[in-house]
Amino acid sequence: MNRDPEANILRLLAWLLDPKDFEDFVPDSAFVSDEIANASPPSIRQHSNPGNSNSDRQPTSTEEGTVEDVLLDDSVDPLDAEDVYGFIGDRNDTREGQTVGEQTLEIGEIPAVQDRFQAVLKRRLQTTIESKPPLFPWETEVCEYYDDFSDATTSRLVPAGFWTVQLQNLALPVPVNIPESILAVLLEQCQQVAQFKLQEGAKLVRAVERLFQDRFQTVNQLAEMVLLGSRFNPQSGLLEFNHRGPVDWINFPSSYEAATPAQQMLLSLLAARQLIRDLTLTVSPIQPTTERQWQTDFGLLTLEANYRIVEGGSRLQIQGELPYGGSLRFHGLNTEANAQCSVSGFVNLELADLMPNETYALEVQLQTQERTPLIFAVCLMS
Amino acid sequence: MLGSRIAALSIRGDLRSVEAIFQLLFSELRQYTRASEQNCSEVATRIATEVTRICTQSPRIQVSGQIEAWGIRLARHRLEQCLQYYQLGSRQGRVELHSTLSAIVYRYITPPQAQSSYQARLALIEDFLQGFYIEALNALRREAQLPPTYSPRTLLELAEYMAFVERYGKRRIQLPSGRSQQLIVLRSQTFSQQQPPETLVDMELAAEGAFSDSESTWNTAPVQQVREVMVAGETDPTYEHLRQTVVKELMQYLEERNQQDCADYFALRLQDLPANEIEEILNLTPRQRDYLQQRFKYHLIRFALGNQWELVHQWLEADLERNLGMTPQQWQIFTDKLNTKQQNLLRMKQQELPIPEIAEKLGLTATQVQKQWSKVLQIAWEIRNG
Repeated sequence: MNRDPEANILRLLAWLLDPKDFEDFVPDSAFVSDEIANASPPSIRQHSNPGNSNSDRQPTSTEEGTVEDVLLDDSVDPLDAEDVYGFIGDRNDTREGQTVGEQTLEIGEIPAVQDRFQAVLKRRLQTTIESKPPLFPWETEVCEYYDDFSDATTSRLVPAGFWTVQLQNLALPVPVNIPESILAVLLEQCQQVAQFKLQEGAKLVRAVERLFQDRFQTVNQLAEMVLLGSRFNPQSGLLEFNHRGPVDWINFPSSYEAATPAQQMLLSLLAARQLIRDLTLTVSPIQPTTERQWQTDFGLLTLEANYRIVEGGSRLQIQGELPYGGSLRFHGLNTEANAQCSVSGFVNLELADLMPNETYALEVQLQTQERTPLIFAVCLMS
Repeated sequence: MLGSRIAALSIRGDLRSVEAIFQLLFSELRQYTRASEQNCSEVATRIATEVTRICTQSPRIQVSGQIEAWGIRLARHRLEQCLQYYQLGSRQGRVELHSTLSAIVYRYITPPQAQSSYQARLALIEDFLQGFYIEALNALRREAQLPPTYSPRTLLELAEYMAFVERYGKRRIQLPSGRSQQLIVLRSQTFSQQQPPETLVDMELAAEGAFSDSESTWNTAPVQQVREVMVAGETDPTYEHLRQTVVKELMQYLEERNQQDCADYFALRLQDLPANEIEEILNLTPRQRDYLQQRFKYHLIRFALGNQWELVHQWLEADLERNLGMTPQQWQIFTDKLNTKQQNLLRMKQQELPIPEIAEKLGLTATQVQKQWSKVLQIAWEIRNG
């Protein structure tokens, strides 16, 4: 028995750190696969040496082709390949069962150790990887991916004529009329984009991309300018941007058609920004009430959202004042609610315990021949 | 459309259950994503086909008599992974995937530099995973019968790909020995083999020499001798089992006492990483790491004398049957040192009475019994070590 009390602890640790680990650091065995060098005690190891019976037909795990052989082998039960520990949860029974008998786990592979090791490492790695996320094989830059829109969805969003009255009174910082056809496309796109959980800049780019395909880079740069804010100077006829002073190349002509492509992009982005704002009702505990108005052929549509935190949850009230008989439909993650009225007047919806930081759709439909709804976005901020 | 595809794949499974799995996937994708109907349908079809293939080809599932239940279980697992990546989005999703896979292969990727370090490994892992992403994309194309030019376009397709890569990497490959290993681990071992071989000796030197002053005590000659002695017992399965039990219990002990950083340190220590690498991973200065190591040792001693004394003493060959590892002379000194209560406690422990019974007889609580017993062991420990 060792005389030094400390030595006992060292012994314990040395014992915990399996002696095999030292052996495996000798050059000869370090290149041998885990399967052979680390995982098996010496007596088992011999079976994998060349010359022994069966070993000729048993390639080491690290030889090219072995994995493929197993993957393509019809006689292998595909259930065995499943990462069952990921969802069955009886890993202790299965994996630690391997420790008794011939199949020894390396000490670092004991589930309690391996899980913690990987968790510690993952936390550390995430901070490193976040600053430089990897690219996938088909990518040249890390970009956003969006949901696609099927034709069915898109056609539903082509605004009915009576919704477009609002577009004639769009509050733009530049006194240039944008053609109705362009605005109609923008309205259609903005209804979709408003539903996304994206930064405002990304929403703007998405809203105008159908108009300016293949001009992604320019649109991106211009969207950034729009976001930083601008002011139209009637005396000079210049659109002044907050971040770089007056930009004289944006000396706007009187019509959209006469504008340069860059100017058209800028105008579209400005219009999209206004439309997305008009179509979005954002509420939070700090700003519990928001109202939006939309001009139609039949009169003014008014929507008001009221958000309250109550004991044990939250309540969202939506009140619509419809200029014509119609309905409200509120839907989103796991939620749906409807209300309607046969003549013009008030319609109310009340919803409880919605997910914060989510965006829900609020469809307004009027009982006219054209049944296309106008879709607003309701954003609940925490 | 689904029916014809499934039929074209000559799947012998029950078409009704395929349809049921498809419907489950489709409706959940519709509910929890904003992807279009068509896109949800495509992804649901691919997952349903894969799951059905597994159910059809797996003898274990076929004989279980619960084919549909298995199908739903496998489908749900895939769906949850896919939705998780969908919700994380393009950027956070890839950070999650990349860090998960990097953590798995970390210990298998050995850098060619003289000294193993966190940064050096990371650079190699990056190279390795780039190749692995291509392999996984090809595997997805092949297994889901997608054209060879296919790449994800929508957020849902990207999520499907990322979930597939994770599953593909974690796929368990049965090895000739009967053991199984994750596919990505085997790939990373192959990758490491292709690194220049002259670095190996350096690695050994690094592992031995990289520890700072205080750490060097771990690697001094006596410890190595102990290691050598231990080799003899290595093949004994009971011994192996005991070793693993001690590791598991110690880990649990640290967690229960909220010593998360000590548990982290222990986990890293068991990977045989050099001190500088442990410091980098835990983001500590050498001084801080040294302090953590001292704290770990402190808890290790408490563990050895506490609830797990039997386990540890069994290893020390100092259990009660062997008079706690003392000579008859030491034992005499030991028993003389104990007060009456401790002597009674020792006697009852020798009789293997359960703690509640001992507590009752001594008029103590169970915790007090434990504390007294720790004191007794401490006295034995001191006498044993002179």
